[in-house]
Amino acid sequence: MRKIPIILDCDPGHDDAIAMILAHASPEIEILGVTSVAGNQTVEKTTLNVQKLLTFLGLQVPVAKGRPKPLFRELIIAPEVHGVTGLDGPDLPEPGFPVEDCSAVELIARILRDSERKVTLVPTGALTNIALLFIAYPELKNKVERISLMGGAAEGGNWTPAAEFNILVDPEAADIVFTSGLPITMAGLDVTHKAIITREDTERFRNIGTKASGLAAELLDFFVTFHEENFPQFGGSPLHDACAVAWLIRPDLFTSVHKHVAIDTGGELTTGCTVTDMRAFLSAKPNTEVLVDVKRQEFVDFLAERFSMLD
Amino acid sequence: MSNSGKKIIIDCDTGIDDALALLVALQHPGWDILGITAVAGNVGLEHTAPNSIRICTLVGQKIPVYAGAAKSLYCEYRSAERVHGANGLGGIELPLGYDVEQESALSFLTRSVRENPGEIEIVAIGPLTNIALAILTDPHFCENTGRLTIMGGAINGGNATPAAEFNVWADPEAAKIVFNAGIPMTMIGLDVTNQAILGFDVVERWRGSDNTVVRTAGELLYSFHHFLDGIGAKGYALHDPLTIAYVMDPTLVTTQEMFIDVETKATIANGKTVADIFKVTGNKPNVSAAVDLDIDRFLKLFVNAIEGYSKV
Repeated sequence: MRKIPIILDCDPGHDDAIAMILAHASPEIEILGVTSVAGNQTVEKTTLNVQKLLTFLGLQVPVAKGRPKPLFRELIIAPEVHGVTGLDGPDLPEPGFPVEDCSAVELIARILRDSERKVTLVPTGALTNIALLFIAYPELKNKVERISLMGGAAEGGNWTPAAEFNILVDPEAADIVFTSGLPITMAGLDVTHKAIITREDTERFRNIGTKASGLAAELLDFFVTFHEENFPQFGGSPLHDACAVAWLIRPDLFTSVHKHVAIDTGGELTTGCTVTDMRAFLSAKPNTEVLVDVKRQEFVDFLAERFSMLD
Repeated sequence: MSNSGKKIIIDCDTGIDDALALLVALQHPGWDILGITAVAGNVGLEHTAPNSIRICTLVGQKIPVYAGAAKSLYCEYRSAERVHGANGLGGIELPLGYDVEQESALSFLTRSVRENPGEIEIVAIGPLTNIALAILTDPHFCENTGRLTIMGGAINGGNATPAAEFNVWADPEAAKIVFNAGIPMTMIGLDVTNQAILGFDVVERWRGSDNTVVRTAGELLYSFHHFLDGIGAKGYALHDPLTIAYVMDPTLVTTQEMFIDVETKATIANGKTVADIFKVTGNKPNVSAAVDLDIDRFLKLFVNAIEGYSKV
């Protein structure tokens, strides 16, 4: 099988962690490197979480730390969602390896240069590192196959009424990425709010009895509880970031529409809004595959299958 | 005319669907329409004020029409001529039976509301410039207005831009003032008006009618044709008539209380009515926003209203 080479750019983050487990467990995917970004927590904490997760999973790939702040703004973090560590809940081992002696954007650039094949970028946090890559090394755009990201929404928001968290954290970076001309898949709230994991699903994962499924269940215990207390209407927890990985492997689980998406960066209310031209008013060509629906049960079955494939 | 009906002021930018909305309103027996205030919008004020008179003339009525704001509060003027035609009525010529009032729309709005505290329902189906000016100039306007129902905005999407509905986009600063004024308010937005579609067959039937009003209604709607073909529409979206129909019979539309504010400083999303669906702002609801409608009952009401003119 010809594997899909990817770089995970993330801010773990409970759902980032599950996206990582899913990618690692999937034979269709080859993780070339993992970079951290500030968002769910400070970049110090998200980097440490990346190291701990990879140590726990026994996955040896280069890791580099991203910038401490968004391109032009102060950092917003989400401790109310992910806790003070950014990954509250499971007990994870201390890091068994150091991070690379270079920045996240330098590591991504190195991997792209060294790769014979085009690489898919999978950002599940703010788009700071990816935007910097395109500004600093525009020639490397042609080494990028696609960007499959978690962020944004054709409709609504989760941090402001108009903006999803990852885009809101660094809207200028998102603007740079969405105007990059590269193919983008947007796993936004339109689909992730339908990718709901319930308590029963969590127990099912736990009962698989592997190390990876146990970790996934512990992460979900925390995440489901947060959503039950704050957003009971979901009946569980949206598993945002895993959608960006799952689409690469099983696009058949998802419904998508090809639309033009632009980022608002100046609004008092709409900064960070991924303005999606659903009715194709603009002459602008579609730039984004917008995921709008997922077959929930099959998605859960798929996760269970993958969690059972790791020790 | 009896004066015992519900007191209504219609603020509009007539406009084809405004014209149809007026036709529905003018035949409603339960209403006492105190006046029509015109605003620039679909086309300039030099058309929207006389067009309102032309529609009243068409049905043999003489509701006073007041000229309001000729331009938006703060942004440049944005017309919808390409949709409504240069004269706002799709190029159709209708006789003008009487003159626009000397009193301004602003003066009429504030005076009427002051003289009838809590009793007047304002139905605003154009840009909200006149209403915002009334709020800004009369400190008692908000508390004395019984209710405001607007056609404008959308919880999701837009029709002037991907993010904004035309009436709000045409004067976002005015809309922002109105949404934050504390007036009891209902928003009939694109979420429902885009579902209020009249089939081409009805319009064809009306165009062949012996009755002048019914035939004119058919011709007015038919003049949208060139535009609708361009966007692949399945019929005529009755934005403004639905808003009038809702005020007649609120059971036609399901509403939900929510906090909605208007974006005015954006790079892309100006004029977006930002609806706090997930209650992330902590702000109390300020609007009853339309989320669903009974399409069949609405269309029945609308068709009966227009065809009622041939039975008088």
